[in-house]
Amino acid sequence: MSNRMDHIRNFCIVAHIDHGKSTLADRLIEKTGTLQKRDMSDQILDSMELEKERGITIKLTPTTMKYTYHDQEYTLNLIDTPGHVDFTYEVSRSLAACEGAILIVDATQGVEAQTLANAYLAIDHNLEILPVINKIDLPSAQIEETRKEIEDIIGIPADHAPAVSAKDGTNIEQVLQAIVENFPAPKGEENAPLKALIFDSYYDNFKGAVCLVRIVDGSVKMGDKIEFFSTKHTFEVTEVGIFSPKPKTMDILQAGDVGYICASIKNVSETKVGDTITSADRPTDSPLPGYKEVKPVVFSGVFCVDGSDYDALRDALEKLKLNDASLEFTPETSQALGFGFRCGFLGLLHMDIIGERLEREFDLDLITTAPSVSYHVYKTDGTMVEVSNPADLPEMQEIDHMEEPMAMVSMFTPPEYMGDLIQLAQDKRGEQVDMQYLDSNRVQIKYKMPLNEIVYDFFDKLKSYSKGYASMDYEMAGYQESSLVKLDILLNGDICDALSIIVHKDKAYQKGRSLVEKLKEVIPRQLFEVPIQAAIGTKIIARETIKALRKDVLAKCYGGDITRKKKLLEKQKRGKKRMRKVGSVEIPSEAFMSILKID
Amino acid sequence: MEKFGIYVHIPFCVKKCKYCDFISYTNCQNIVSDYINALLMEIKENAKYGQDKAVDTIYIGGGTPSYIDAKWIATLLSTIMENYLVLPTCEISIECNPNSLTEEKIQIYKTAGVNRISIGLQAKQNSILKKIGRVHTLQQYIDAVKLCQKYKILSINTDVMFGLPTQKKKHILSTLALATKYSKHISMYSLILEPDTPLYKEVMQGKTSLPKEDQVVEWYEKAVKYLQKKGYIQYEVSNFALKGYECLHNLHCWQYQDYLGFGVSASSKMNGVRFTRTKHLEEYITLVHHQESTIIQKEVLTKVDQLEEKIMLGLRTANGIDVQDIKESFGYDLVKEKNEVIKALVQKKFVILENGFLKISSKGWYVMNTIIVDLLPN
Repeated sequence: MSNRMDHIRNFCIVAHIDHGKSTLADRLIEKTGTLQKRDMSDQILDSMELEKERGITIKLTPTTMKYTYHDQEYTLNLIDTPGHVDFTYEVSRSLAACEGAILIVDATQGVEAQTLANAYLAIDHNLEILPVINKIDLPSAQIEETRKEIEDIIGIPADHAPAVSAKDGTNIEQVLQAIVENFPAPKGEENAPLKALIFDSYYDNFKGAVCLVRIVDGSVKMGDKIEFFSTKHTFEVTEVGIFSPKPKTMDILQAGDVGYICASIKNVSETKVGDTITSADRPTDSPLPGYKEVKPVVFSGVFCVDGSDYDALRDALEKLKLNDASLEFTPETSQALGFGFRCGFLGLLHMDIIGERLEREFDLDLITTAPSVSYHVYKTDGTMVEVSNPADLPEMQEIDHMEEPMAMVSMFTPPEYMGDLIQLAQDKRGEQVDMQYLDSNRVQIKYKMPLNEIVYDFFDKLKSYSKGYASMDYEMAGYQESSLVKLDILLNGDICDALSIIVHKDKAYQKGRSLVEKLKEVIPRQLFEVPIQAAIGTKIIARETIKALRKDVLAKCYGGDITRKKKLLEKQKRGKKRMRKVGSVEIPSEAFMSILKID
Repeated sequence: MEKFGIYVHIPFCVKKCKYCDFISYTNCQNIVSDYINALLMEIKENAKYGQDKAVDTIYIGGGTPSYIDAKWIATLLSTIMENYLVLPTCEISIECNPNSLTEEKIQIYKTAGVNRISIGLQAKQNSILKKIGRVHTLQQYIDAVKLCQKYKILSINTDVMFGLPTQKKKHILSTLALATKYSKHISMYSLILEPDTPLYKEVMQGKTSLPKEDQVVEWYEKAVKYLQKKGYIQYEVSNFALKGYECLHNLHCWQYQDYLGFGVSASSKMNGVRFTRTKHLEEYITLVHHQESTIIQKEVLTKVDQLEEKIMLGLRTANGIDVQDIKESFGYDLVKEKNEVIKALVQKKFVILENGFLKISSKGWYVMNTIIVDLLPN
């Protein structure tokens, strides 16, 4: 039977964003005849509308392809990986399901931050790397320079790397041959107790949670009793199958295979990525390595502009959660914003995507509060609490000290922007860890910096300082003690809880000043004067005043004008419905996002 | 007998003012007779609306009604009088531009029954008039009002604007001194920059700058005090008159009486329906000749619409709204429903609640839109 496994190749494709990962995947599917050209829509594996629009992959969809080489039929299992730093853990579990990785490098862009990060991640998982140079159809493609960059920067041989155009299909056959030749066949014991690695799961209305698995040892078929190692929960298998790329039922999945298992599981949170599925009757004694609980790192309050949509928001979050075990939410009440949810996300992109899906797929009009991170607050009584909502911070006198989460940030930039980026990183309280010239055109700068400095506008700033040329990547780097304070905003003397933020002491004045200035711009004049103050505890550190509204009318209004006038007032009335009241002050919902727009 | 007003729109001007976005056409002398004939037909066709009702005000507006031959005005008025029951006390107003109001025209107007003339002065300073694209001069205004006086048309309104380019406080006060000398009614309103006007473009491009809002409000406060001292009563947010010289046509509209409009873009409110006629001159003429309706938009006013409009319009007037009347007509107890809002507004002296009337205070006038929105039913 070892012959069967010899004819399997499990691999993934990794790349920097936009380097053409999904397009290459499409060509492989097409070339192997898995789908006919007429059945293909572009980038078949990116199933969500949003992914297609943004050109990024969030959810993984594996595909089993048949490929005949030297008269032998091979089974190629492509496991697509999410292309963003927010999903690093999911990427790592996908990599663990493979023996090989195709590393795509854009021949017009060269090696970028995520190229390197993903390459190292693959190397760390002991995968065989096959570099593929893409976009050779473009006039600015520099194939030989790109080969050299791969060898110099990543340190892997690239002289035989296929140079392809995934867009027009040039040299795709070479990639398929290299997959068979270069990537090792899986190793595993078909007769050992079942060990299957969950690298993803999704929710299906009819089948329940569907586990996407790589069978490492043993086999699984319908009727088997399976057990999840982390929870010890057991289920009876209702269906096993593969993706080609649509789900296709199989009799059995065996060691080396990639496919899916359904077992009438009601909730995707049962099926944790990285967990091991084993046989309930003949369990393995040791799980697969590398499992960890995924924890959100960025938090934000999510509220509806129209308070009566609260139930709809809860339903929407529950629906998204069915498919996204990493999304966390708990009810939150804000004096300013009413009832909503505190949501935890894997990162900023994840937060963005969830927000956008809520608005787009569920037609909700949302207010999201400033993103926050999770602080460790050590109290004077010796206990520690995790605080991700500024409103939950204990009184200052109860706090002994606080720690904030740190991130290791790698920036890649042409040398001419280096000075600006170093300045940016230092402004964001970064500490330089490393800096090296990768070649004469590219510098890698590494900074350790607080995550709360990254969550606001770091990425946008990096892009604007470097005219779009720099790229970045980050990973979490533990906690570090820090002098942090809570900055409150008072409107007409009342604290507006939804505008409070936790900041470093040295930045409080600057933030407080910019925030009150920004609020002065976005809050419309009211019938009375409104003081806006920034305060740390009881100490006011900045103040602005919105002068009272002086004039909003005094126009002519004749008979014919009434409809127009009425429309104007109706518009004003609708605008008013989007306002939130803090004390006696009316605030437009945009104001709650102002923190994102200040320096 | 139920009463209603008639509005007639004359959409012609010698030149369009830079801030104006009302419907009016220039260089159209040749089409005027066709238009008037269409108007006359429409007036006759609609006579059924006037059955069992009496006309208590007629308002000829524009555009510039004084731009066209005065005999057309006389024909229009006689046609209205032949087809509708026009009360002997009827107020008959016409809007005029100082440069086109001649002695001959005034004579004809007077004979035709016009008893109120509204003159667009806007500002006394010729340099400001030029900046906003007005075609007349100060002297022409003075000549015009003197002619009105000569022919014993005593009810004269002068339109004054504030917030104009390069305008200063002294300009407004001297304009008002002039206006109060010659007219018993003054409409004073602020410049509203409407999109798609030349002035809007100039301001957006930075070629023209307007006085700051805070300044404008300060002038306005001074101006109101000045007019009060001179005995003018602010009977509506932007209208001031000596006792007995209020413009009934507009007052009735704010009091939610019916009115019937004729001509391009004219709107009407009759029997709970609001309707508007086409904005296009040639289309209007063709439609009338084919005996088709010129109405392009028709809105049946629901109870809620009527309630909202009554609140919105009533609050514009000095008398305010009759809380009991609203309650009886709509079953809506404003004071009870908006208890907290009204309490806060009264406390801040933006509105006054007395003798069963809710009205906006002199301080509240300036921010009336905000107050109205606060008071509209949820």
